[in-house]
Amino acid sequence: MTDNVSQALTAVTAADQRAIERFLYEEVKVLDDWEWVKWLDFLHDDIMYWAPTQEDRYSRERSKRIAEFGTSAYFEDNKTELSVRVHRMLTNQAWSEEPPSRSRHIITNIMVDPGVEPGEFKVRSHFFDYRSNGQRAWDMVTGQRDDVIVRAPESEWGYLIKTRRILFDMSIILNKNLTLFY
Amino acid sequence: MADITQLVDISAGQLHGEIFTNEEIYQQELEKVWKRAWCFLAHDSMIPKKGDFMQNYIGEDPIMIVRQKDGSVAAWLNQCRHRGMRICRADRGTNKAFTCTFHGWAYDLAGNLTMVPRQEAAYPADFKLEDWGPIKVPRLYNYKGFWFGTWDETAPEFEDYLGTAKYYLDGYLDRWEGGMEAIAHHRWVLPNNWKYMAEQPTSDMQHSEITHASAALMVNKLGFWADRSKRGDEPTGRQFFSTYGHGGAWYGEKGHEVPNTNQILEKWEKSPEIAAQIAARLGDDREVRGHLNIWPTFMTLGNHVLRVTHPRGPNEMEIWSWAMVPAAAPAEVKNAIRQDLLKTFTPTGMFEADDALNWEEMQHVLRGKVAREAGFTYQMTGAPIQYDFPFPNGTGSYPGGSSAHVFSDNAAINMYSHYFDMMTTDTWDELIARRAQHVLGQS
Ligand code: FES
Ligand SMILES: [Fe+2]
Repeated sequence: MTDNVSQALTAVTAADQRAIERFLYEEVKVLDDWEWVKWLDFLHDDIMYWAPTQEDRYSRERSKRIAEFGTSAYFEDNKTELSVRVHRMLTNQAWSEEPPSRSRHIITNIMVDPGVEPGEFKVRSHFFDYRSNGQRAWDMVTGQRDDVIVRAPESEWGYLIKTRRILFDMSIILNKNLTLFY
Repeated sequence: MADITQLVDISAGQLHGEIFTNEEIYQQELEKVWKRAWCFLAHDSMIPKKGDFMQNYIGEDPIMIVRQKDGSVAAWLNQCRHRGMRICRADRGTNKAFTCTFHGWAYDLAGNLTMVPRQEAAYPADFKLEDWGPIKVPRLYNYKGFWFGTWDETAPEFEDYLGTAKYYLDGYLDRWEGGMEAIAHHRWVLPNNWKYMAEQPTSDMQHSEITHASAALMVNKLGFWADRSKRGDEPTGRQFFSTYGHGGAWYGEKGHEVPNTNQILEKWEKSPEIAAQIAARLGDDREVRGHLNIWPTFMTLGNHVLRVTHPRGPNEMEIWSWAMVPAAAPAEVKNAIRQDLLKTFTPTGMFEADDALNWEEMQHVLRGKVAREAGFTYQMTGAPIQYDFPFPNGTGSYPGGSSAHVFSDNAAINMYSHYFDMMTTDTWDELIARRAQHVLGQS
């Protein structure tokens, strides 16, 4: 019998784990460097970028805590829609990000597991995203991301994010808006 | 009591910044506005089955809205009468009864106290359960599926409160057989006074050209959204205002309106069967969809987002927003409405995000003494005010007061005139008499 950690470490090679970690760091680097167009290169053409809402329920209804797909969400975007969001930022008239926020995406707890297909990985990560804008405004948001990432040697970064589910650790969003990518 | 008579100058169109920052004035708003107005609580589709409940607020007071066994709806203050604990802490769900998690007082769906632990051993014989239930919202009204409530027993009937706004409100929510249903919900906090937001769907269409320039540039790329280019370079339209502070506006002249509904909904509404249904229900060729607010903060837009904002002190508010769709529409139409809203008017919304920035900065600037004294001004009054203005085609008229352009401060001025009258009267009788004297453009 092998313990859980040993099993997890044999299911994915150290090289794959390292590569995917680097990939996720490169992704948030372009965001924090305000190179939003480059961010689109990290996304699979068929991406579903989804951030459901969550709310408090009594314990017997806890399974309904996270909104189902196709209902309440902060994002439920395909690549075209994400690209519209990106290009809006480039108009220099998206006032909430003009001048852009000083943002810092901190990505941690990266756990890589094999996906369904060969060359596919299920990747859980946590984020702590801080931003400040203007003279005094600042906020932060933490949460978790559940990604399906596929190996794509011909792509710019060698991998592509095929699905991402983002869960913000809030019920009522306590920030004035969510204008970053997460 | 705060004296706001020097702070609100309706005839000069001038507001002192204090009314957006002052704690004493805010406390007076809770008393004079929020305890006396009709406020949105729930829609039938949000609590369809017996035992279904949801939380909402009237001002800062937490309210439970609960579907009863007989199909009726009860609304009560979500505060245990014992030591004031929040009785229900789930946002929504289904329940048979509620038990306070402090000492265990138990309540039924109607909000009656049914059990107090250790009553026999520790309470006197004359302690009566019926004396200690949570405060009930004494007046509720179901307007076409939308539940409103008020604490004030002397407030006018809901439809009298709507007044001429009823015509315009129906143009959003009474179009379709089967009514509407809520299919998505978002809540978030903004760092600004609640009146900034109330004012916007009441009266300020013009900010959209600048604040939302980037979003407007992008939306047509997604195909199904409202085509804002149809408004043209020199937009026209109309704005209404109503006695008790309500207002709204839409683009385009009669017969050539440009609603900001998405194109998939528009196409469905133009199908002969649905078009006939809408015409029959409304009784005229009504198209008034742009933005609208029923005072204090029940607001909707032509894309069928529906929201209330809850005040949270002078410097903060919450938005509680729902995607409302025609219940009988095909799934494709419902989804198009929902998708439109997710991308426009939520915390990630490409429109909403930029409103938030304006309001945050305005609130920050008002920390300045000179800035507060300078306050805000409402001079966009060039469009003539007309009453019961007849349609050019002679088939009817726009009920009540309206201005002959989509861009006007008139409805905001009317809103603050009503606000002033609410803040400076003690009874609804007085308020009704005052509003009868304060008729915009006629007094
Ligand atoms: S506060 Fe609710 S039972 Fe004591
Ligand atoms: Fe706006």
